[in-house]
Amino acid sequence: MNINKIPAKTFYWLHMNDAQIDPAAAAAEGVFTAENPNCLTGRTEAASVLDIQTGMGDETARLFDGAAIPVHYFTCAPGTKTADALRFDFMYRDGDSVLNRFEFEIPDNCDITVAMRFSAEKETAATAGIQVKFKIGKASVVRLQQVQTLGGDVEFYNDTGVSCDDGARFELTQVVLDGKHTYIGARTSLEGTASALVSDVGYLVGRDARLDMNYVAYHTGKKTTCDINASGVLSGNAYKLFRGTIDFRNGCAGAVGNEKEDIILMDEDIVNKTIPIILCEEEDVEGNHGATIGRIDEELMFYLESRGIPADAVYDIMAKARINAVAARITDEKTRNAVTAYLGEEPENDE
Amino acid sequence: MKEKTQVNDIDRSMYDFRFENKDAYKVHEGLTPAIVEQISKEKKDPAWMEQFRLQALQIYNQMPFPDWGPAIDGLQMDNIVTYVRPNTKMSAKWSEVPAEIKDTFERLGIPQAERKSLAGVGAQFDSELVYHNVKAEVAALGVVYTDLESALHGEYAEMIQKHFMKLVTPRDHKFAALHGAVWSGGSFVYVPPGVSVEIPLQSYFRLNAPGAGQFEHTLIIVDEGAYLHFIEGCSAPKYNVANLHAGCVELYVGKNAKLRYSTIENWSKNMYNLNTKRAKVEDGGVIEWVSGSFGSHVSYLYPMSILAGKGARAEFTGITFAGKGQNLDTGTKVVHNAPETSSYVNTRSISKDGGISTFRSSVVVNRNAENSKSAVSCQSLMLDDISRSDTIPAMDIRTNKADVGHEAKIGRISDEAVFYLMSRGISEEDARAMIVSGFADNVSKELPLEYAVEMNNLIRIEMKGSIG
Repeated sequence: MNINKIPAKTFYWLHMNDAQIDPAAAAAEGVFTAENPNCLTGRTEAASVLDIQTGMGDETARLFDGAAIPVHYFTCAPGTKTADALRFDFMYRDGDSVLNRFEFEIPDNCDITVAMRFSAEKETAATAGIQVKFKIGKASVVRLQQVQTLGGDVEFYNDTGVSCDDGARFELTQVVLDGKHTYIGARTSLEGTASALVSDVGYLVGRDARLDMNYVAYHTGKKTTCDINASGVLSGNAYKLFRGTIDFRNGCAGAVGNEKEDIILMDEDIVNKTIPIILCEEEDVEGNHGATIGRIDEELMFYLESRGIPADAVYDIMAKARINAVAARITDEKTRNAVTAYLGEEPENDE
Repeated sequence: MKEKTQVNDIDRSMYDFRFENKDAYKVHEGLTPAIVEQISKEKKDPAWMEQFRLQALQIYNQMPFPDWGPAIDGLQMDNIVTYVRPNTKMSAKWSEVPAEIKDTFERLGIPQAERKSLAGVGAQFDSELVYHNVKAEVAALGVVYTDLESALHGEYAEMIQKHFMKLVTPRDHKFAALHGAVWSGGSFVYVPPGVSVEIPLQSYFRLNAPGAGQFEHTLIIVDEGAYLHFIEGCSAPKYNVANLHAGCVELYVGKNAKLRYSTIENWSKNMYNLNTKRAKVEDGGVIEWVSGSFGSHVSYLYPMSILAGKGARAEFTGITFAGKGQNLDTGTKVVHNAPETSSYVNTRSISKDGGISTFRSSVVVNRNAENSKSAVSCQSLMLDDISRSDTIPAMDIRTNKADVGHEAKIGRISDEAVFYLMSRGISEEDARAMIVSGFADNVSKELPLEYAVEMNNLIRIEMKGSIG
C-alpha cells in the first residue's frame, strides 16, 4: 500500500515520493476513553460521513474501510465555544492491531479544541492507526492537539483530513515523542475565503525509529493562509522524512503560504530527508519555504560551553526547548503536561 | 485584489531561419539495432563502441519513460531521425565550411565571438561537427580541444574509453541509454595540469533538420590545478514536428582544478530537450555551472555535481524562462561524498503566457561528508495567472556533521516597484522588463559580457508585449 504520496513526484532514486506499508488487517477498534465538555453530540456510523481527502491519501481508505470499526461522528450547535477540550486517550496494548475513526462537523462561529493522546507501555508491540476528519464551518476555529508517547515497538498511522469554509481556521499541533514507525499525513483544504491553517509538529526520533510525514495545504479560496512548521531532533539510527506541500490552485488570489523546518542532527547514523514543495498556478500569491538542517550554531555552542555546560547537555537542552516550544501551543493543559512529563521536566498532572 | 496582467507570447523568428540541406545523409526514422549499427559504421567506431551502443539500446528498450516530470507524449521515437550528417567534413578553416552552414553560424554570431573573445570554437550542425578550431597559443599550452570522434581514433583513444559514459552510464535513465546508443558529435577537451585557459572555449549546437535528434557528447577533463571556462550554446529553427535533443556532458575536475561550464539554451519551441550533465570533482576542485534555459517545448535538465574529493565545491547559478507552450523542468543535483565539501545553488525562474517552470533539485550529503555545507536558494516569478511555477527541492542528509540550508520564494512582480519606476517616467513595459532583468541578474553577472548582453536581449524579447 502506498501512502503519504507527494502531490508532485520527483526523482525515484530519492525514495521520497511515497511510503510503502504493509499493515496487518485491523482486528478491532482501539480502546479509548473520552472526556466530553458536553457541548458536542456524538453518534456512531458504520461508514465515513464526510467526503474529505486526507494526508495519507486514497489508499488508506483500504486500511480504514476494510476494518469493521465504527466512525465516531461529532457535531455541535452553531456558535458553540468552549475552553475545555474534547479529550481522547488511547492506550495501546501488547499485540494490538487496532484502528480508530473520528469525524467532526463543526458549524459556523464555533471555537472547539480536540485533544488526543496516544500512549503505550515501553515494551508494547502493536499496530495502531487513527483517522480524523473535520469539516469546519464559517468563521469557526478548530484546534487538533495530538501527543504521541508510544512504546518502542508500535507502528502507528495518523491520518487527518480537513476542509475549511470562509474565515475558518484550523490549528494542528502534533508532538511525536516515541514509536517504532510513525506515519503522519495531514491535508487541509482551504476552500473558503480567508480560511487559515497553522500546523506545528515537534518530534524526537531516536534509536532505529522511523517518522514519515506528509503535510498538504491545498489553497483554492481567496486570501487563504497557511503556516506549516516542523521542528525536531534526530538521534541514534533514526530515519525521518518530512514532506510539506503548499499547493496554490488557480483562483486563490491573495493567498500566502509559509513552510519551515528546523532540525538538529545528534548522531552520525541518522537519515534526514526533507522535501518542501510549492506548487503554484496563481499569480497573486506569496509562497516561502525554508529549512535549516544540521548542528547547533557554533557560536551558540561556544557560548554555552564557555559557561560550563557540556556539549551533550547543550543538545539535550536544545532538544527539549524545541519540543517545549511546540508543546506550548497545546492549550489543553492535561495533554500539554503529558509532553513535559515525558521529557522528565515535571510530573504528569493526573488530577 | 491586485490587477491581473495579460502576457502575450513573443516573436522569436530571429532564430527560425533555416535552409534545406538536400544533400545530407540521414538514417531512417526510429530506433532499431540495424539503425544503431548503421550509425556505428558511418562513424567508423572501434569495436568496443559498437558493442557499447548496442548494449545501450537494449537498456533503452528495457527502461520506462519518466512519469514524474513534464509529459513527453508528443515525442514519438518512431518518427525521430537519430543521425543526420551534413554534406561536409569537419574543417579547422572557416572558409572551407559550406556557404549555407557558414551563413547559419554567422547569423548566430559565432565567428565574430571567436575572433573577439574565445580561445577556441566548435560548431555542430545536426549530427556532426562542421568546424573546430583552437587558437595556436592555447594549443601550445597542451590544451586539447577537438571533436570526440577524432579523439576516439587518435592518441587520446584510451583516455576516451576510460571516461566515456562512466559518469553518466546508460543505466542512469532512459534518455541516457538512448544517448549511449546513437550519440554523435560533440567535443573533447583536455586541460593539462596547472594550465589556466584564460579565455573561454565554446561549442555551439545547431539542429537544422526537421524531425531529427541531436545527441552530441561533451567530455572535458581539467587536470590537477588547471582552469577552464567552457561555454555551450544551442538553437534550432521551429518546425511543426517534434525535434529531440538528448546530449550528454561529462566533466572531470581534478585536484584543485576549476571548471566553469556556462550554457545559454535557446532551442526552438518544438524541441524536447532531455539532456544530461554531470561533473565529478576531486580534492579542492571547483565546478561552477551557469545555466540559462529559454527555449524548448519540454526540458528535463538537472546538471549534477558529485563532490568526490575533500574540500570540493560546486556552485550552480541558473535561470529558466518559460513562455507559451513551454514546460521547462530544470534544476540541479549535488552529491556530497567527501569531507568538507560545499555547494551553493542559486536559481531564478520566470513563468508567463501559460508557460510552466519547475525547479527540481536534490542535495545528498552522505555519511562520509563530514563538515560539509550546502545552501540552496530558489526564487520564482509568476507574470500572469495562466502560467504555473513549481519548486520541488529535496534534501537527504546522512551525517550530523553537516549544515544544510534551503530557502525558496514564489510571487509576482511587486506593484509598488512598477509604480516607482513609472513615476520616474519609465513605461510599464520597460519597468517590468527592467525588474525581470534585475531578477535574472544572478545569472547575467556570471556570464562573459557578450553572453550577458545576449541573455538580456532574450529577456527583452520575451517581455515584449507583456502588457496587454
